[in-house]
Amino acid sequence: MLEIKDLTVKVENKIILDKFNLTIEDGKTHVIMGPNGVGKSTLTKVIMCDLNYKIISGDIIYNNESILNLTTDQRAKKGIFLAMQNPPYIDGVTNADFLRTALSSKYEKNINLYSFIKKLDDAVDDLKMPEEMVHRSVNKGFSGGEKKKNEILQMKILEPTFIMLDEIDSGVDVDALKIVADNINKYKENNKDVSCLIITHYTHLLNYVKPDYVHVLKDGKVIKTGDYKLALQIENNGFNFDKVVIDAFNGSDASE
Amino acid sequence: MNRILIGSGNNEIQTINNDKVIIDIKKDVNVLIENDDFNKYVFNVYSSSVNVFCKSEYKDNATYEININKGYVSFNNLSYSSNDVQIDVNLNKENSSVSICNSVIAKHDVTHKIKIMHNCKNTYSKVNNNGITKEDGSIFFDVLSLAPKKCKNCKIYQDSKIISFNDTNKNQINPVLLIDEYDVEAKHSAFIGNFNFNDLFYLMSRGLNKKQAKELLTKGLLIGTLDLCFDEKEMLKKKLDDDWR
Repeated sequence: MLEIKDLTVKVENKIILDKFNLTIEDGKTHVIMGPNGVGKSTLTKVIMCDLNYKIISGDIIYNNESILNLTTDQRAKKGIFLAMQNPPYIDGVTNADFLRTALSSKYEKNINLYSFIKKLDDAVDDLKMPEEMVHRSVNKGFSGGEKKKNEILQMKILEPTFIMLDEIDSGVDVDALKIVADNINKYKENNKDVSCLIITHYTHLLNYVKPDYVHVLKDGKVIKTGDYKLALQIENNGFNFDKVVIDAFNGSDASE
Repeated sequence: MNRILIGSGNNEIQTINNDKVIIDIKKDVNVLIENDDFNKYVFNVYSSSVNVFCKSEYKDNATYEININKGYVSFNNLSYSSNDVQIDVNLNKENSSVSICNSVIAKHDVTHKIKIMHNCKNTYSKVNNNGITKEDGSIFFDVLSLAPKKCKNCKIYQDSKIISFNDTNKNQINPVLLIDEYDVEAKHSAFIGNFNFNDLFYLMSRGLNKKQAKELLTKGLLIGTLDLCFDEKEMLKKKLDDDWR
């Protein structure tokens, strides 16, 4: 379980998250929606310990333990995973090398080459990626869809317990989105305790990966929480917060 | 493709003239130059595709002259030594291309000079220098590409990168493009500094600690960028681990 308590985060003297609270129980899928610049991606990066963001106050607790003092790699080893919106490309480092090193680091021993290749081949097949992509430099020359598939490939290999998907549906065509979503669902089915935090602007992904909770973020705070219907309301009305909040208060459907 | 080991003294393309090894290549071939007694090599390439790999680990100052008379040369150099390297390329005929991947590990001050002469139209050159400095090392990459008048449709690229693992302020990159013709495509980039924070963060977010992330980036920078087969790269990475950690 991940608990974020009264988290206030600053970057370049601007408060991005303001006494932010969120609890994500094991096995649950939460979605955060909101217009650009309200702190959605900041939240994921703070959880992953991006040092560009300064935590002023509050705490992040994962499985009953504060992770604020842990480094990025220590958090990753605890099972926290961030699929990035714009993953960087790393020239000269192949996907296979990268993943094998990451796995060796996670288990603190050299990984058996045969079992690694088998696992990698299976994951590549599931994602309908060309086999040669694992021998190419990480994300170099990848299309938008290939980059997102590559993030999911890493997720499948590293087997995290808490997954953050930051706009995994942006820059992805319809077929690739379905493949990505199918793989996320399959992973969740096989790992019932895995919890998920999805950052998105649209309901495209949510049509396939059904959320338990949808939160609307504004000015660094959650201003409304609902279920999948709230995402549909936003899809129909945009981020017209007054309307969303008033409609929710009146118990009516804003799309009407 | 045949693989020729230069310095073995036992192959038909190689002659030795005044301590200079002259290699005439008329068919596609892979050439490996390992530690030998020579410091100057001349490649004359005629209508063929050639991959050269120089493991100039402990070689004295080395000079390589590459004359391409139509064809393609992929020239790869991995240098551990404290000595200087000079690479001169002459693109003498149309459809001559060269790609230079030059990786340097510097524990002392080293200079790598690369000069590319586009002597004909429709020629292509790409220079990719990557270096890291450690202990007392510093690197000077001096890259000069020339395209005189009438050399239309030439393409010229230069990329140089030096990552400092020490506190030296002597690292220097001098990327020079001398172009006297309008119809030429050219670009260059130069970077001196540390590994990109976003790259490190990305690797660490997958569970690698900072040391492992830097090691992986170093291997990628120096060996991953070389145009060599998988097995060769794996051997070099292992050697880098054993020798240099």
